[in-house]
Amino acid sequence: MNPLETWLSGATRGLSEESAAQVRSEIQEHYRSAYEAAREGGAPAEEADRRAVAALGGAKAANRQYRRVLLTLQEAKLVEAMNAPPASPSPHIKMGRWMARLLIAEAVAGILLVTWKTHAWLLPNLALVGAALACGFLPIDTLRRGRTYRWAKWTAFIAAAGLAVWMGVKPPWMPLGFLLVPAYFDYVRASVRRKLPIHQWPRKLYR
Amino acid sequence: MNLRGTLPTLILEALKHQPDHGYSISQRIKERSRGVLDFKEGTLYPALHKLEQEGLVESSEGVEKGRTRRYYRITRAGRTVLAKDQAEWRKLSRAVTVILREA
Repeated sequence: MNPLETWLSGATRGLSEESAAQVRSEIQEHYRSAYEAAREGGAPAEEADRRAVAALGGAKAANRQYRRVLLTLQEAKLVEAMNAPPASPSPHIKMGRWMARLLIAEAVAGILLVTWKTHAWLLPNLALVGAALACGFLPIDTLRRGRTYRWAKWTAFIAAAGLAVWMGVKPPWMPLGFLLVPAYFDYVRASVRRKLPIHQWPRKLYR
Repeated sequence: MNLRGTLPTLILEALKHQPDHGYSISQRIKERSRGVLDFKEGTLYPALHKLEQEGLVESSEGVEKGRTRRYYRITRAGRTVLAKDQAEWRKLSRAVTVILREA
């Protein structure tokens, strides 16, 4: 592998295919210009190559900065999943899914019936989180609606966690720990929102 | 010398008079600083992408000497930010100069 290829593979590590292609194209173009300038200045080919690659600086530092502005592999997969057309399963699978949902709802209701006296915090918590998640089915397809939805969802999540702590859940950090999962997913979505132009946003990204 | 955080302002300044491509922008910044600023060219493009995402520059492809290059152009919002950054920099620079003169 030549020095430029080594630099490029370091700088594009973890980036999506499209982002990596973009980095390769702009850096190769930059390298060619730098190489030609060095050659015109009288440098031998090897020295011109060395200078052009050295001027790029560290590949790791460039990679860190590229990851902040271009889609990573993980983010590109998320966008792809969001853009995928909804599958149209067979009537049997549809019925199976509804039965599974019904069973889960029954199980949750059963647990609540048995434990509501000892775990009173569960009921308001589930109501808050459920309401927040149910709002996700509303037509959220503008920046303003998206921001309002996220604001309402996090208010409900934090209120649910706070309520659980206040009602004596042990250990008290547990409800806060549960917030880490949605926080991580929202962090990834926010990163994609920052990097993609609005006209390329999948509808689900507004949420 | 590496002045962290000043690259976006330097890029906007380099684009103030005419659209340009990445390599030329980097050379212009180096020449104008007379080689004082230690500026790694590999970090120029992430900075350009960020400026583009923020709507401060826009880019389009152009051909020069038979080669396709991406040209960057400063936007109206970019000019406003540049003017603000320049004013802040002058203020900071004056303050530091006064302190160093007193030392």
